[in-house]
Amino acid sequence: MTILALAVKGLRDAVSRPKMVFVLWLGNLLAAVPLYLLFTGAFNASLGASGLARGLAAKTDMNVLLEILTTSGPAIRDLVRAALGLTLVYEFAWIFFAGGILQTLLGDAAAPFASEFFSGGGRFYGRFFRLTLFSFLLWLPAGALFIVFDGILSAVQSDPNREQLGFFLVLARYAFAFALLHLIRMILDYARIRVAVRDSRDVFAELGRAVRFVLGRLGRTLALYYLLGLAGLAILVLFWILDSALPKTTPAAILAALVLTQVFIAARSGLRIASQSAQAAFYLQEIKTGGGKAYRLAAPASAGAAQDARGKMDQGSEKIQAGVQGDADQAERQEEKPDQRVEEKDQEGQRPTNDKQDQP
Amino acid sequence: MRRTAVRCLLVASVLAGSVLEGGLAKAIVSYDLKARLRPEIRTVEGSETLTWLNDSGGPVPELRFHLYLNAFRNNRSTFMVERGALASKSVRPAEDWGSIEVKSLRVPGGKDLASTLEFIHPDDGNTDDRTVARVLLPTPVPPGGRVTLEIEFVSRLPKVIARSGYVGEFYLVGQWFPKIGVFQNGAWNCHQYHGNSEFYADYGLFKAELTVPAQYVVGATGKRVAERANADGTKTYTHYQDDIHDFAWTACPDFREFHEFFVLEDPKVETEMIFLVHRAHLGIKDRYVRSLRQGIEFYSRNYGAYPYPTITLVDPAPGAVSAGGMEYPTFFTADSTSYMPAGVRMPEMVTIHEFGHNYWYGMVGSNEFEEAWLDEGINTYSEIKAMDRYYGADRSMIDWGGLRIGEIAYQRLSVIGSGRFDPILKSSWGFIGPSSYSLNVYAKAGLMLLTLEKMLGEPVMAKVMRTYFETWKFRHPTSRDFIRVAQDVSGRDLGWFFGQALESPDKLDYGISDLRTYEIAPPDGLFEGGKPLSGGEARPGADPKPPRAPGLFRSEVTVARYGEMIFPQEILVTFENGDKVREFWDGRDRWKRFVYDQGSRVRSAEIDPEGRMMLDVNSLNNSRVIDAGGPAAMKFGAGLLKWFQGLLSFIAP
Repeated sequence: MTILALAVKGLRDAVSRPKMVFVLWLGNLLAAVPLYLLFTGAFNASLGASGLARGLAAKTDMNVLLEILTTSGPAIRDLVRAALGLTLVYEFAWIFFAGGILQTLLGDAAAPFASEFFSGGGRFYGRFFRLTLFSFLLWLPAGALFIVFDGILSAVQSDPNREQLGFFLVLARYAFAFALLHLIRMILDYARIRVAVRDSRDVFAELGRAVRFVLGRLGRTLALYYLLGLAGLAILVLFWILDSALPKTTPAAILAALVLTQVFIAARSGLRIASQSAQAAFYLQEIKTGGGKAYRLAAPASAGAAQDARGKMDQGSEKIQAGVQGDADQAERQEEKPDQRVEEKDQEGQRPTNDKQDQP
Repeated sequence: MRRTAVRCLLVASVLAGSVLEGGLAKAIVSYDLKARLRPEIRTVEGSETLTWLNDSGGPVPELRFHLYLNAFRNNRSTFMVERGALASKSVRPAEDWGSIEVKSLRVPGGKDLASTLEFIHPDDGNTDDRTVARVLLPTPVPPGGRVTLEIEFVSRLPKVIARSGYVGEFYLVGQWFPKIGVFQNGAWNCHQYHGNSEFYADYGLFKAELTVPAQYVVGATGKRVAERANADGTKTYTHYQDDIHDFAWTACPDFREFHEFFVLEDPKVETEMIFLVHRAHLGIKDRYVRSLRQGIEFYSRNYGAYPYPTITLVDPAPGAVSAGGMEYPTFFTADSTSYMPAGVRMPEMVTIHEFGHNYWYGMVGSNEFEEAWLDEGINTYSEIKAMDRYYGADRSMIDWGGLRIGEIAYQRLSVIGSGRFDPILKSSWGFIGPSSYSLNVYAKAGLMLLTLEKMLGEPVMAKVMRTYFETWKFRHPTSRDFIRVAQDVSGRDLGWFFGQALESPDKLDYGISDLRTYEIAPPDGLFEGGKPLSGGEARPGADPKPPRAPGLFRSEVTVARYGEMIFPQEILVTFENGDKVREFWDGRDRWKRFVYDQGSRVRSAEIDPEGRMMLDVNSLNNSRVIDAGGPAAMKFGAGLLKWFQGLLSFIAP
């Protein structure tokens, strides 16, 4: 499939899984609601009886808001602490969601959503957690790259009088840091996919292989990532336009804005599913070269089977019989042995003939 | 050439014929300066002929000089120590330090007195500080007499710091020559250069010949009266101005020079605006021009006509931030960057503020060491008025991307969040720290004057300001002089106000502490005449039960003084039927309750409804409504929810 087709497939997969979108949206909302409650409580306690609050409801006056911010140090401190705590909780929750997403996307399509999603979340939690921790190591080479980039830009801007150039170079630094951040996120996506597809427990090695996988196909992985990123940007712009049009001066309008926000968050959740789906399809397409094939995960392997699989991998005895796509791809395929727990089904979605789902 | 010759003739006649006879100010000093910039060693080689008039009633045996550049000589100077240099581990490169050295100092025909120059430390006894020096004269200067000194000096310019120095090929040459102190009340007023302090000097005539490499564009205090090319590849520019008390200049090959004229009929103003804009900032030029026009117009119309023939705006080079936002007579530095959004009015604010110092510092020569609020505070007040006048009170600072912030709100923030350590009126080196200095001297003093304006009314305050300017221009007023003018013009005793606002660190905070309303309960219990408890039988001798007033409500408004500062208050109470009641309270007690028994419930109460108390550190408690709540919390909570949910969805790993 082409990159565009993969992106479309990802979006279709997301649209066809409203329950998963709902769960992700709900997780996001539940993580954020305590902050809302804390804020409104503090606001009402300190300002609810003030005439200024009424004025603010009708018109947002930054001059008053700044004064509120200046005089509300302890409340703001509490809010910031709460926000940091909730963010941390959400990060942990998202590790669970990531497992659920991949299990649902790659697992048994006929299985009930809830059992697939939550069993996947639990099944991969420990591995994805370690993977997230290991991914911090990627910041070391990323930091080194940034230092090199910064050094080059500093050399370009040796004349402090070229202030306009300096301004653009600052933007370039931000853009580069942003790109590095997303590159690491993308590598982490593929590492998770690898762990899920291969049911691997050696997450550190999978992270390394994901790096090789991405760097070996940098153009296409980035194209897929940013194609869906553009879709996200379009959603953001649409949301911003609609949100700006709402006056938010009456309870009904505020409620409408709240609903709009939830639609936006749901759309972003769907986009995250689309991204994972498209990336998983791309990964499987690459390692199997069976364009148009879809895959699903096998059930968790027994310790013996996993050991057996790892043993086979170490032996490297099996070769992928696939079309040649160049040396890099060949090397990747050499590495990607036909894991027994990756099973095919045909394009029409028929159940595989050698279904091992029920294996212990 | 002809024009130059005419100018030279004019200057020569002025200097020869009427030295110390300045037009507007009593000329105490006359400086004839010569300076040569040597960029290769970041040095100005200079000489000055100084004539000083003893305007006191007694003989003066010694002279005292400021040698300000020695503040940047090492990390033991008072300036550097007060700026935290002792705690700093960073090492400044040798070429970053600055200094001034007096090579010779003599009375014409006399012997060189440079070796007798003695560094003194009147403020803090710091023997490492060399920013003030004194010299004993061969003979005292008699009352009304004059002394002339010929001084040669070398000024090594620092990497730009605190209003002076260089960055690349940009030079801001300020506080660069030996400047005599002010002899007043029988003693020298000549303070060391402090971390926070600015300057104080006497009025007089300044002429300067500035020689620089020919490729440099030069701007300076006063009017350019001559220029000539020299055989050694340099050019010499001659500037002259009287009725001023300092002289600064700038040079940079990357300046682009623009000239415009400002003309005003009432009051009569004609001045040449000179803009030296760095080539990196040419996009800002029109904003400089517009805001300087606004500044000249506002100050001229409200305080008095701008009297000088020129005003020079200098746009510092990129990287010379410390050179930005500094005032010298008829010459100031602005502040901006290439990409300053049009709605962020920092260039406008700085331009108007620094121009305004030509009034409050320039023409009204208060002592910036001892009473800095008289220039910075009054000028902040004036700048706020000008910015609000031209850009709108609610957006005078920022009007960009839907974000609107007014300058009053901006100034209030620093006062609201401040500690309670220092009063406004204090020696500039006596504040607990730089932030306390700036928030008191600039923001709090500006807000104090705005509060005074609300108290007196705008027309009276305008008269106060104009009278103060007219009375004290080209003189050295003190805080007492300002207070006296304010009291005389307003006809009111304002001692209680200035005593608290100016001389005390106390804070002003009044609020509505409680607001309640309830229906008055029917009579119950024993009353005169033996009327029984409700529902019971009448007892002999008891009064009949008084009838219950139909629909009578008691409303209670409790106002409180949370701060230490006492300020008379007005309270506006509004009832549900639309009735409004205004109450007055002297504000002395810690609280006061107003009680109303009416047929209508109270709806809201507001203290200081006209918003007079600009110094109030918490305006959020100034009003209260009965039916609290409303959609504000929901509105901002929803906004917070939106951002937080978006953030979570973005940062999920």
